[in-house]
Amino acid sequence: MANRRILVIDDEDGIREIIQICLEAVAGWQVFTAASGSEGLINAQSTLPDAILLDVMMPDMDGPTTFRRLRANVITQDIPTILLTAKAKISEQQQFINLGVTGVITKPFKAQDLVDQMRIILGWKD
Amino acid sequence: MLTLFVSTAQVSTTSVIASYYSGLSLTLFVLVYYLLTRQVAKLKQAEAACRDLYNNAPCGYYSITEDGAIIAINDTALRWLGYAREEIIGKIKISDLLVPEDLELRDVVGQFLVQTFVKEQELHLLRKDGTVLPALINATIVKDAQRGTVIRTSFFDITERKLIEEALRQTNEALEVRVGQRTSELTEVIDRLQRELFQRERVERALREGEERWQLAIRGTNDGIWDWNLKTDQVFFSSRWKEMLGYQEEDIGTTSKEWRQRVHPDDLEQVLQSCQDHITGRTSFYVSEHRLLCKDGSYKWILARGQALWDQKGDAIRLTGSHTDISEAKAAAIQRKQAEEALRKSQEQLQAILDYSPAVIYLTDTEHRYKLINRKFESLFNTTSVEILGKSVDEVWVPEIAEVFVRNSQQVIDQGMPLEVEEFASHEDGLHTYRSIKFPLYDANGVPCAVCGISTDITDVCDELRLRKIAEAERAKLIAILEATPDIVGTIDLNEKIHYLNSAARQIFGFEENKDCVNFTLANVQPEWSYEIVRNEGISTAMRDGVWVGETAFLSHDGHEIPVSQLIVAHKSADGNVNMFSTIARDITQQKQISATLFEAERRWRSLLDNVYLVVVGLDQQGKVEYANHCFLELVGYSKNEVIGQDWIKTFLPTHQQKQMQNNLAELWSQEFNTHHHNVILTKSGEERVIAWNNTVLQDLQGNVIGTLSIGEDITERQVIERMKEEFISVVSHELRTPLTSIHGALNLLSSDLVDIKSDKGRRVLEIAAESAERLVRLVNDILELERLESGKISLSKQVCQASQLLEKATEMMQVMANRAGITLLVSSMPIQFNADSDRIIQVLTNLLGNAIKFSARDTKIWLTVELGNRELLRENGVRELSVVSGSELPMVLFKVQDQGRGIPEDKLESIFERFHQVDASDSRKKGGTGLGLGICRSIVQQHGGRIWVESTLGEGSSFYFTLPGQQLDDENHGK
Repeated sequence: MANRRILVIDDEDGIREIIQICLEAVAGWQVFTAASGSEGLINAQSTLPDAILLDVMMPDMDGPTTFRRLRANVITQDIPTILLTAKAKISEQQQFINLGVTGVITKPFKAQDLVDQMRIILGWKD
Repeated sequence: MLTLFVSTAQVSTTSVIASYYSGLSLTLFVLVYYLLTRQVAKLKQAEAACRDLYNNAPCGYYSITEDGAIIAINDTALRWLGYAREEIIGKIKISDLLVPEDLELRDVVGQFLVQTFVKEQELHLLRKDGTVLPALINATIVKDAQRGTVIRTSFFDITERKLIEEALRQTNEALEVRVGQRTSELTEVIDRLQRELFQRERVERALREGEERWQLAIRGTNDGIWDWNLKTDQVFFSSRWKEMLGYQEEDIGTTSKEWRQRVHPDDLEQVLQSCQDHITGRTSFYVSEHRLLCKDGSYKWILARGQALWDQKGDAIRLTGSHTDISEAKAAAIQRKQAEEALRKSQEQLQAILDYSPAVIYLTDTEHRYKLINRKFESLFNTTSVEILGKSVDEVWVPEIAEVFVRNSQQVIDQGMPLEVEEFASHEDGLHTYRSIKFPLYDANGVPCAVCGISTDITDVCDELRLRKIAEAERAKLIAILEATPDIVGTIDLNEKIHYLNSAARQIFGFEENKDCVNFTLANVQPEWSYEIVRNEGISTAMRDGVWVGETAFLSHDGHEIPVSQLIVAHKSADGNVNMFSTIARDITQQKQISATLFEAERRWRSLLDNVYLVVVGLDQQGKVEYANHCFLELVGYSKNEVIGQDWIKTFLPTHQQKQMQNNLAELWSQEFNTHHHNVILTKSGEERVIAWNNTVLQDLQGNVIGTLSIGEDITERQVIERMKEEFISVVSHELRTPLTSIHGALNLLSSDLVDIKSDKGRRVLEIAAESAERLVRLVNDILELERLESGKISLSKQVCQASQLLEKATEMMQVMANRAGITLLVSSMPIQFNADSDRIIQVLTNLLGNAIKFSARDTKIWLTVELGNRELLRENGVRELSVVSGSELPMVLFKVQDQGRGIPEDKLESIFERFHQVDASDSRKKGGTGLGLGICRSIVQQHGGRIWVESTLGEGSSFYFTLPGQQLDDENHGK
C-alpha cells in the first residue's frame, strides 16, 4: 500500500518541510502538514490520515494536549499518532507512551531512520 | 531504939516474912513487935497503953458474944467499916455485917463455940455505906468471967492483898506458891505472936523466932532492907542493901541523902514521885524501879518496895521497905526487848522487801502448796493471797506451766540445792519469760520443808537481747555495705573530729585503719573552699533540716582535689540534740567532665543552631513547638514566645496540607523518620515559604520517641531559580535542537541522495539547512552574549557619546527592515552627551526597533526619541522609579521607542525582559528572534546603571523606555 497518508503537525517550518520531503522521498507517502496543534486537529478531521506525526513542543497547544484532543474526537480517536520530541530522556518518553500514543520518535533523525521507525511503530511492512 | 531493933532482929530466929507479902505483914509484925518490945521493956505497962495499942492496931478487932452481938470493936475496925462505936455496940450483930453470901458463916461463927479459934477465914463485911470490905479474920474464943464465952476476932482489910495476890499469881506462879507457903508460915508466926501477946511468957521466944525467920527471909530473897524515919531523915540501910551496890558497911551513912544521891538522875524525879504518892496515901504501896549508883560507878536496876507508917494525925512517920537487885532481869528484859525490837524490825524489813520487790516471791511447801506470795505476785497475776495461799501449784496454773514449776521445785527439795532456771508464766498478753531462783528452806531438823522462789520477768530483757542481736547483725550488714561501697562514707562529731571512715574514704585519705583518722578533722580532708561550704551551709542546714546535699570536694592524701556530691545527715541523740554528722560523698570527677563536655557541646550546638542560616525547629510528641532558632523566627516573623508551645501543623502549615500532615505525623514518628522532605510553611504575614527539611527523631534513654528536630533550608528562591533554570535549559535545548533537527534532516536527505540537490526540492532543502544554521548561530551568539553580560564578563568600553549619533546609526541599520515591513521610522533627538558604550546602546536601540518593526502592522509608525530629563520630569511622565545613583540629582537620558503595534498584555510587561519569554511563543518562529533580545537589552542597560521598562496598551501600541545616567560633562556645560 504505497499510498499512505501522513499528517505532520509541527510549528517549526523547517522541520515540517524536511519531514514532508523526507517521507515523500523515502517512502512515497502522501504528506499533509499543520503548523500548530489547532490546525492539526482540523486537518486530521478533514484528511483522516493513516498516521499522525505530532511535535511535542509547540506554543499555544502542545503535542500532548493536541493528542488528547485528537483522542477525544470520535473521528480522529483511532488514528495512530506518533510524538516527535527533542527530549531524549527515557522518563519523559515514557510519560508520552503513558498518554496512549502509538509511539515516540526523537529528534534529530536521519531520513531513512524516520521512515523505518514509523513503519516499525505503525506495523507497516511496506 | 534502932539499935535495939537491930540487935533483936539479929537474935530473932523464927520470923520469916515473904518480901512480896511484906507491906502489911511486915508493918504488922514490926508494930506488934514494937509494942511487944515496949511491953516487955517496961514490963507490964498500964492498961491505957494496951488500949491505945488495941485501938490503933493496923488491924480491926472486935469481940462478939455467943449470940453474935458485938461487944467491943477497935478504932481501926470502925474506920474501915465506916461506923461510930455507939452505932455498933449493943446495936448490931455480927450477922448484920456479913454479906448475904457469907451469912451461913454464922454457923462457922457458931463453931467458934466448940473450937478454940478460927484461922484465916476470908469474909466479906458490909460497910456502913453498903460497900464490901474483904477481910481476913482470925478468931479466938475467950472465956470471960463476966461475959461468958466471948469470941475475939481480928481482921485485916485484904483489899490490897487481894490485888497483890492476883498480881503475884500472874507474875510468878512458883513464887506465889512460895509466898503462899510463907504466908501460912507468917500466919503461923502471927498467930503465935498473938498467942504470945496473950500468953506473955511465950512472947520473947516467939519474937526471937520471928526475927530469925525475917532475917532468913531477907537472906533467902537476897534483898536489901531500908527503914527511913521521915521525921528524922535517919535511914537504916541493911548490909545487903550496901553490899548489893558494892559498898562496905562504912561507906554508907544514915541519911536519905545516901540513897537519893545515888539514884540515877534520870530516875530521881519518878522515884520521888512514887514515894510522895504513897506517903500521901495515893498509893497503897511504894513500888519503884530505878537505877542506883554502885561503888564502881556503874548503875544497878533496883526494885524498891515499901510501906509507910502514919501517925494518928495521918502524917507519915516512917517508910520501910526492901531493895531487890533486878539488874539482870532488867538487862534481860532490855535485851529481850531489843531482841524483840530487832526481830520486829527485821520482820518489817523483810515484809517491806517482800512488798516492794519487783520480783515475784513465793513459798511453797513440800506438797507444792503456796504458803506465801508477795504483792508482786498478786498484782502480776491479778490475784490475792487469800485466793492463792493453801492452793497447790496445779490448782493455780495450767498443766503445762504447773508441771515445770513442780518439777523445778521438786528438784530443789530433792537435791537441797538452789536452782536457777528460766520458767514461763502465762499473762494476759501471752507467755512471759522468768528467771527464777529457787532454794530450799529447812525445818528445825534440817529437812527441807519449803521452797522459796524469786522470779523476775525477763521477757523484755529477752526481747531486748533478741532485738539487740538482730540489730547487731543488721549493723554488721550495714557496715559491710558501707565498707564495700565506692562512695566516701564517714562520721564526724560536733567538733568536726572524724570518727569513722569507710574503706573507700580511708583509701582516698591514706588511712590504713579507722583508728588512724581519729586525730583528723573535717578541715584536714577538705580543700578550704569546700570546707567553707560544708561549715557555713552544709552543717547548719543539716542541723536545721536534718540533711543537706551539695557539691563539694575532698583532698586525697596526695593533695589531689576530688569533686564530690556530698550528702550530710545530722544525727540526734536521745535528748533530741544533734550529736553527730554522717556524710556520704560520691566522686563526681567523671560526671563533672561529662557535664562540662556536655555543656560545651550543648553550647556549641546552641550557638550553631542559633547562628546558622538554617531554620531549626524542635517538636514534642504532640507536635508542639519546643524549640525554634533565630533564623526560623526571622523567617516566619514571629517572636519566640509566639511560637513555643504552638501546634506546628495548625500554626505553620497551609490549611490544605494540615489534615494530611496530621495523619502522617504519628505514623512518621513511629517509623523510620530520618527523611528529607519539602513543604510549604506560612509566615506570620501569610507568605508561603518552601522549606527543605532534614528531620531527626529525638529519643529518650529507652528509645522512646520524644520528639523531632528538623533542620530546614528556605528554598523558596532557589526553587524559583531552579525552575527557571530548568525551564531555560529546556527552552534552550528545544531552541537549539529545532534548527539542528532541520539542518540534520536536510543534510541527511541531500547526502543520502534521497533528494537531488540540483532539483528544486534539493535547493529548498539546502535553503532550509542554511536558514536553520543561521538561526542556530544567532541563537548561540545571543546566549553566549547574554551569559557574558550577566556574568559581567563583558566590560563596557564607555566613551562620550552623542545621543543623536546613536539614534541615527540605529535608524540607519533598521531602515531596510522597516522599509520591507512598510513602516515609517520617525526619529527625534536632542544634542545630548553621555558616557556609554555606544555599540551596546546601538544594539539595544536596534533590538527595540527590530521588535517594534516585527510586531507592527504595515503602514504604521515607529517613534524613536531621546531627551534629557530629571526625576520630576520622569515622574510626570509616569515613570515610577529610576535606577539612578542614589542621592545625586544627575539628569537622566531617556530613550523611547514607541510603536503602534498590537501591544503587550499587562501580565507580560515584566516577563518579556526575561530570557525566552516572548509574548507569544510562536512569535519567535514567525518573527524570527531568539527570545533573548530583551534580556540582552535589559542586561546592557542595567550595566550602564540605567533601567528599561515598557508601557503598553493592547491594540494601541507599546512604548519601550530606557534610561542612562547623564554625564558629568553636562554639569560643566550648565556651568558655562
